[in-house]
Amino acid sequence: MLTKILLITLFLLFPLFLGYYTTFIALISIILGILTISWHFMEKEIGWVSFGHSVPFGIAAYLLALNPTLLFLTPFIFLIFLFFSFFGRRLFPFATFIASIALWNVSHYFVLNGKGGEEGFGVPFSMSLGNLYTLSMALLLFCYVFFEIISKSNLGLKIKAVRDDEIAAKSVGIDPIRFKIVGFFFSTTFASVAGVLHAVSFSHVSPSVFSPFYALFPFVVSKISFDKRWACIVGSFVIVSLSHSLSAFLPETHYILYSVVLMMIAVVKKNAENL
Amino acid sequence: MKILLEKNYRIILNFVDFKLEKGITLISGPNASGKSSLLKVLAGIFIPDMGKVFLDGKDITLLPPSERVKLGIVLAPERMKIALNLTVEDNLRFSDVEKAYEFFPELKKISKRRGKDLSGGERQMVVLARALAMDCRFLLLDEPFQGLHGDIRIRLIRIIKEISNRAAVAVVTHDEIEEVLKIAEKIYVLVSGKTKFSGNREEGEIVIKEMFL
Repeated sequence: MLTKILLITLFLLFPLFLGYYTTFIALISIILGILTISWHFMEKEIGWVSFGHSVPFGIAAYLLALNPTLLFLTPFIFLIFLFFSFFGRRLFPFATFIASIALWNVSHYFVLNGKGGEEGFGVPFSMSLGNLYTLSMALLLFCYVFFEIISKSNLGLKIKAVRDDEIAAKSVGIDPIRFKIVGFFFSTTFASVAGVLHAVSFSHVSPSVFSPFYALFPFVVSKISFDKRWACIVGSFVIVSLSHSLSAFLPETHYILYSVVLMMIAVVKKNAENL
Repeated sequence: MKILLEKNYRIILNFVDFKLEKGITLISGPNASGKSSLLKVLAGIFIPDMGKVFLDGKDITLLPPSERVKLGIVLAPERMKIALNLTVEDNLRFSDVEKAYEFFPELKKISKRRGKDLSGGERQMVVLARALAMDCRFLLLDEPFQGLHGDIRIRLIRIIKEISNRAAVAVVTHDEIEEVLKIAEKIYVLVSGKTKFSGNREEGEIVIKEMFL
């Protein structure tokens, strides 16, 4: 794990010595890397695929913009996911996706009728790019190490046992609800951290934080990263860089990228089934 | 306890009265008679619609399975239920790993293999090993012989007999029924969710032989 951390650190330090724009794009990649790793934990370790991780991401960003003291509410965002989990594993991804789309629409209304300007709500404080980059990088490394440790711990083992078979887990004394709560809490807390960093980096929060771009981003990145946690960081850089560099020629490029990845997943899956 | 349990608008247990005491209790009956559901009610996995479960005179009906395990109520579920993406050793870590290997030393050789890569018999050994290695007062074995070959079945019967000297063991099985009959002290026969028979081995043996053997 130490070698991986060292390599990731070197990889993350490199953009800091490049131009402002490149560093900013790298910062967005790091922030969305935190979002992706938090999503990856929910999918891989807890076994719940969410197409609405933009919900904790966006809510935390809005809370910061409205009033930073409201951030104390972020640890409770997992309750939304716990509520959706009662729909069952099959409906969970769609329930979270519908929630993110609903919040996307509601927040448009909220921004226009509230105190937000055209760009959305302003964030009451700012940081220099270098400081924000360093802070985000440290949080990404912490997020990576945290989930690596949790995944290998007794707690992670119990979370995975619940994911694999709830009855088997119950029979050895594991309380599935308790471990689901813990897992959701960890995942949504880091997604909220990403949301806060995102708000600070843009200095404002617009309804787009709930958009399908953020809702589907972790899923797409995780898939192109072959479900490896460390590769999610690289994957995040790839999608953000491609999306930003191509958007000058073709607006909304990220949706084309998403479509390509989704089609590739379908093709690979079909080929694997035919083997 | 007179348990009533309904699932999907179907009565699974129809006011079943069941008592588990030290020694071996065989629960027999045709398919879908409610045997496994009865064990799940005892383990806390199913909550009965009516009736209560008592342990030492204390009502534990609403106690979750995690708390019941602490009280010594341990279930080895049917259908080889283990965490499929965890290794054998990781699955055994939920109980006493070394003790589990003592019951089934075969598992030591495959300790790093994932649950999904095991044969049915190997999975069943994992289910049994972790249940047997727990400090139990009440051991609930649901189809424990499933997937096991002859030698291990004989070993398991010996282990069940040993454990029954210090704990209450309930066995639901379709296999090795004659062997279990020899060591069982009490017999329950369930048919369509109702208790058709409950009593000692001698009388129970006659009922079971008439019905199934």
